[in-house]
Amino acid sequence: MDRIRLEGVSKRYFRLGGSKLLAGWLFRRSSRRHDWFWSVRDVDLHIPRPGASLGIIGANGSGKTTLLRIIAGVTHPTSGTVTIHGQVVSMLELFAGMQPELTGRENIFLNGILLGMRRREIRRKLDSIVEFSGIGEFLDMPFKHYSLGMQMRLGFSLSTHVEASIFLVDEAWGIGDAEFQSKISRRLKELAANGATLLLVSHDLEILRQLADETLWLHKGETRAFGPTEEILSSYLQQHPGR
Amino acid sequence: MTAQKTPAKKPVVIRTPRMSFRWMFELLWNLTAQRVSLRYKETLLGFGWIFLQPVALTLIFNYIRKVSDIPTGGVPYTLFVAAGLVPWSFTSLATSQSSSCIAGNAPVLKRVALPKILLPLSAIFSTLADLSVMAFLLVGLFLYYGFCPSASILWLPLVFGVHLSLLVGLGCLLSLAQVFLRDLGHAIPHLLWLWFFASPVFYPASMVPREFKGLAVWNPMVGLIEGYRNTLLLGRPPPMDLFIPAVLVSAGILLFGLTAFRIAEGALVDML
Repeated sequence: MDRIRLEGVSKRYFRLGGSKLLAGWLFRRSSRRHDWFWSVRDVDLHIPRPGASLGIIGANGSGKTTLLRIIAGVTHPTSGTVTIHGQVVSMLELFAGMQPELTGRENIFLNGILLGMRRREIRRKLDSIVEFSGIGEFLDMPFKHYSLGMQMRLGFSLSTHVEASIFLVDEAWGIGDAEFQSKISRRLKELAANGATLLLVSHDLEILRQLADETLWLHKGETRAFGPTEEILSSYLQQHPGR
Repeated sequence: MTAQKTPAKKPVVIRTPRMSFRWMFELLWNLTAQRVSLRYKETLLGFGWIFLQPVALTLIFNYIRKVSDIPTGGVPYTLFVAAGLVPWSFTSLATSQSSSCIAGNAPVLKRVALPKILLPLSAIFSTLADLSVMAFLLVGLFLYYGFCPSASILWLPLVFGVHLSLLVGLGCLLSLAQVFLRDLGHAIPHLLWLWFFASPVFYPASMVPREFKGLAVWNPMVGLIEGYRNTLLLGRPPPMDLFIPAVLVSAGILLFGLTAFRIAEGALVDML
């Protein structure tokens, strides 16, 4: 049973705001073709065995984030078939649910539950979450007083403590010092070694080389290439010699 | 890019494991508790703010009553107003809190797949904390006036149940509508004021002019507030000529709200 299987998945977005859509519907103005755009178009993808990890590369706006949002179940595809077996943790916006006025501890509980953990489970893992994030004495301070790096570290630490089988990672290591960055890649390797499936969106090709077995190259929402990471990266580098 | 033919096949999404109900309850409880504590966090008065508005309004209405004559059926006017203000404050607070809860939580909704109905529900349930503080205020007034409710108070749970289902339906509808129509965020405070004057908060429903009676019956707050007053103050069951329409309208709004929510839930995130 495949953990993730996408067949002919496409996603279309409305260019204008909701009020325009409503007005168009009310006044019977049929929406024109250019009011819509395809963010992801006819993508096939499957991850055959547990523990295999997938990299996703592509320029900005090539549909990487949309694809991850579809897999996370946050948005529905416009067409195609999506099959997901296993709990998914999205690390797209690491501190999306964090409330600036709440303390780190309160945020750990609130967001842990949002990510699918149970209260008892969080209580059990609290020490480990705090230790990995290295926020230490800041635990009972309001989240808004944290530095950006600390916010990111807490968000990352919390997400990787969820007992999920699929992790969607989107450039989580963008911020944070060198020490924490190596901690992140060690933690991701650990997760993969324990049988989790990682979907990694990154511009850091070195990370993909280390972690991803296969890589999907997206271009303007469509699959440019899909195969073993080494092959994909070398043809990607030929097109983008600057990297 | 040249326009390709759009694939017409309906999308299929299969996903295991399913979200567990116990997790949903835990999430609902935590979202509710978080809203309660956030609303008054780092304010000097804290929960004192819950008292402030009803107390100020009660004073103002006592003043208005000196200007014009308002019959209360022999009940002290302060008590009469308080019994209308407490349910009204619940309506107004729950409506304003729940209407922005989806548009205001866009980052969370874009990251986590969760049953979105938990957001309006938690917003409404969080105002139950305010309601219970105000209920204490009401009990204090009862004691001050040496007023003892009669057996008709047994109707209270029914009146409250109808009230709550009206608010849940309204919360679903408005939170949904605000995603597609941001104008509502500006309009709702004004609409609430209009609704306030159209509801018998500081006057009895019997004072509604005859030509508006047929219309007022369909304002569910008329039947509800009169229901609260009858059961709490006058020792009578709710006035059925007003209460039954309120039940019908509330049930209709609840049903419509839940159905609309179910239909639009999937498209919601794409509009945020």
